[in-house]
Amino acid sequence: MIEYPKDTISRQYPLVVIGIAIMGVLLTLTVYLWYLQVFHGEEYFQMAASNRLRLVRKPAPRGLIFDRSGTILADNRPGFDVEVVPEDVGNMALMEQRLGKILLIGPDKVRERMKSRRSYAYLPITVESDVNMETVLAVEERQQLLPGVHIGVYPRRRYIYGGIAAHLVGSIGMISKDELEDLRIQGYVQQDLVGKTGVEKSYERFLSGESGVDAIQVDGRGYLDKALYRNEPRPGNNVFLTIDLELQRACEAALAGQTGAVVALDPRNGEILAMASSPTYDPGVFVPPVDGEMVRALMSDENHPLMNRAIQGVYPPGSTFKPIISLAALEKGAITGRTTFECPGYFMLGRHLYHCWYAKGHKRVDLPDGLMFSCNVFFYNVGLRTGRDDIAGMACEFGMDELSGIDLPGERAGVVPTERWRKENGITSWSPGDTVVMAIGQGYLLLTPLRSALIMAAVANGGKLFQPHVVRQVVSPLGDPLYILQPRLVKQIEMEERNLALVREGLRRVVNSRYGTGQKCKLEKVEIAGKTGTVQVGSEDNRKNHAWFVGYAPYGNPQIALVVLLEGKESGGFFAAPAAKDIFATYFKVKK
Amino acid sequence: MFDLSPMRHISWGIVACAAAIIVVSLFFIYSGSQGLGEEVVIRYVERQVIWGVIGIMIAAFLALIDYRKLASSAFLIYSAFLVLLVIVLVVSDLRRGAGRWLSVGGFTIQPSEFAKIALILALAKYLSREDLPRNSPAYMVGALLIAAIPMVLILKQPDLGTALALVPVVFAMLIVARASWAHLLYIFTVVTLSLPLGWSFLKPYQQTRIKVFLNPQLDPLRAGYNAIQSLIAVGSGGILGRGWLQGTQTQLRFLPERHTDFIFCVVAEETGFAGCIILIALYATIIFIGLRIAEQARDEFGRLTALGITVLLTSHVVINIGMTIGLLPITGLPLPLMSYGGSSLVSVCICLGILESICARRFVF
Repeated sequence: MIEYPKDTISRQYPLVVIGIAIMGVLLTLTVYLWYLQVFHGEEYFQMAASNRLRLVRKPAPRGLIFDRSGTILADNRPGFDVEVVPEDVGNMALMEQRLGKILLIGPDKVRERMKSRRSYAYLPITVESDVNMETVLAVEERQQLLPGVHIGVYPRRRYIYGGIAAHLVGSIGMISKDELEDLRIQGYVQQDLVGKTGVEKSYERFLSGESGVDAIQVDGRGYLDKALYRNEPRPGNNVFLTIDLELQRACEAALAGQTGAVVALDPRNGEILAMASSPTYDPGVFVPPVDGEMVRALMSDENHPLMNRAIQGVYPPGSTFKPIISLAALEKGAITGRTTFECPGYFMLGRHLYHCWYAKGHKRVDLPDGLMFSCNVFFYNVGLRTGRDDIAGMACEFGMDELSGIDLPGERAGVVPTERWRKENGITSWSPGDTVVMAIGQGYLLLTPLRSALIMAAVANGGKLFQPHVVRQVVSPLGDPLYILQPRLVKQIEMEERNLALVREGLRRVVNSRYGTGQKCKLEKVEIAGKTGTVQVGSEDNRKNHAWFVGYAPYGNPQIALVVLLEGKESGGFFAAPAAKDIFATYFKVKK
Repeated sequence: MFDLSPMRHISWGIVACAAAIIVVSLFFIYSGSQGLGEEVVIRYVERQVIWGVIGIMIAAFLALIDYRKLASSAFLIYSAFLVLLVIVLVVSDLRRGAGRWLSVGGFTIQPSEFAKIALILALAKYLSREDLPRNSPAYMVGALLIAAIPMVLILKQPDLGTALALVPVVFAMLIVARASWAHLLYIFTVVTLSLPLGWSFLKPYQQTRIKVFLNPQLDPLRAGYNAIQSLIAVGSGGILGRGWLQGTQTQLRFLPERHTDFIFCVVAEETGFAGCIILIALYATIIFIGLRIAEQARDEFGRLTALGITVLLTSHVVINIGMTIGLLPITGLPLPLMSYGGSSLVSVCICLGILESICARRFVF
């Protein structure tokens, strides 16, 4: 056994301390490495992956939109963008000079756009969108002189008929922040285009298709290392509308130069055959790249061309309400087919005097003649006998205060002054005079032209309220049907057939009798039933008239219900009825 | 010329571990310099092989000669390197910029790499003097002067990392030389208190590095970029790594300084936690053998020199790995025996040669 001097042992002591300290430090490093690599390894692995991967989206061509017979209303054309990959350019100043000259924007603008639109290296920067063929050729011809500059081809939405059925087809635009919030989960990203209005919006999920992606691997400076995989975009599905382009055109023509709306639908199933709103606009204006000036002009136009009056405009029904009050009175037993009232041309209620529109009076009038003449005095009496609540009740039966559930965005509901509505809107007093006014479709009553058409369809088809729709079917790009809209009966309104028959007889006379207010809609070959209406809106000093015609045909076997509304026109019989006649004539392919 | 008899006592453990690390380093210099062009990759590996051979030859030479000959010329070597450090400062001033290197006949050398060894030799020599009482203030002041002069010159280059790596070396040598604890405590307090003052002496880029170390997200694309990318590289290695030449952070050049200061990241990414453990174990073996050599050294000079060298290696390893995994601020400090670069490799070989010389003569009286 070796004996160490005491001094030696005390000399080892500091070395041991240092050795323990070093061991502690190395152990700390090891434990921390374990923490990073083993405990958090997966997270760092993901970070490394997102470091090196870049996904280049390739937009999918949107599905096409057809009318019911297969005529294309909206498709895609190739759009040409001038793009620059800065890494491939070489002499930047020279490129800016040359490209600025071709694009007629000057080198400064080129530089500015490249700077502001830059995202990642290698990815092309769009300097100018949707250039014309001349520019495309100019760039292609100078390929040798313009390294790094190329033409990108992307599908661009085209609305072939412009303003025809614009409100129905709708338009697309850049996804907004709020929309992105909702759609992110479905894979949408910034800069994506989405349907903003019309069928483009309501059938977005069918039309959009799936954008493709080029996955590339980049290095630390962002340059392309290699392409990893490529998913081709999947084009959107095609949508067939229920509308008929020829009828739609007739409707647009009937409205040309005027403000108003037309709705034509099939009373047998709720298919919209045509729907027009005037003034109209060209949805192509909203397809990027947009001209801000034109969009602003459309937005601020006081005639509101962007509004679809057929589903978003609410108007008092006026005399077109008379079929409903008639049915309410008949169903509640307030009158019968033999009930008559004397019309001297005016009506006294207490000390108030209410006029008939025909000052000389219609003499003794029964229900069908009341409708034919559109005799106000007859309906004043009917209204008072039936009472406010039963009239409102029948209006509600026809869904006047509800949404129809049409497959278009932005629909508005009408107004019926029910007890609940009056409570919600703070209307506490109600005089018999209010009932009188309501009896001729004025006062608080409001509805959309679409609702008006649904009511006419229900009168024609025996009380069936269908959910209207503008899309007939959706088919895949290869033609396989994906989604077929079946007629959906919302409600069967229970009414006695003979009561309906009385009202229909009245409506037949409106058009076909020589005393009827709707004679201007009479066709030789097809028997049309209908009702005219003229309503006053606005205050005393700013009074405005709207002209209505509602109707269906043929009388015995209804195939089309039609509503024409013209804003600012004096008389339904004189303005709306002839417009409706042209549309009926087109539908039945007979001479006007 | 040489007395070969002590050679049977050299530590083969150090030789084996050091050789293993150098061989491994060639693979990761190869991997880390991918993408710089095949010629460059080959040139880097070739040069490192040449430096390695030169280093081993120098180490063998140093192991053969008696380290006590170094003791007698310690102050001469020390003074020579002080002059070199001053020349570096003057030259870099003329170049109007930072510079740690001197150009000599086509080679660039970093005198600070060697000045560290000169400092250890001189300090060991001073501390082992018998003529001064250990607890006298004069003894301590002398030691501090010897340590401080080269450290300040290195700091001026500016090379904060190397200067800081010397702090634990000096402290360890003072402790083992049995300097008065009161003095040590006093120095420690003064140094700690003057740290905030030192902040204002730092160059702006050094301040940024420390700020970014405290919060890398401060500037993730520029100043914090290296810290974040090296952390991702290390973390993504997982347990077994992505495989040699397969690390995306390395191969796609997200990592900075892959073949030099950040070579540990390449090892960590491509061989994972397993590879890191093995590498750290190799260093730990050298370090603990070094401490053992210090313990068994025949005289005070040998003991202090062995200790100084061991602690110097340790602090390089710890600071380098610490910075790549985000535990310490980023300072440009090479990983001993691993990082590409002749000065670093040769200087570490010199250290190990001296260590072996001390080891071999531990039984010679």
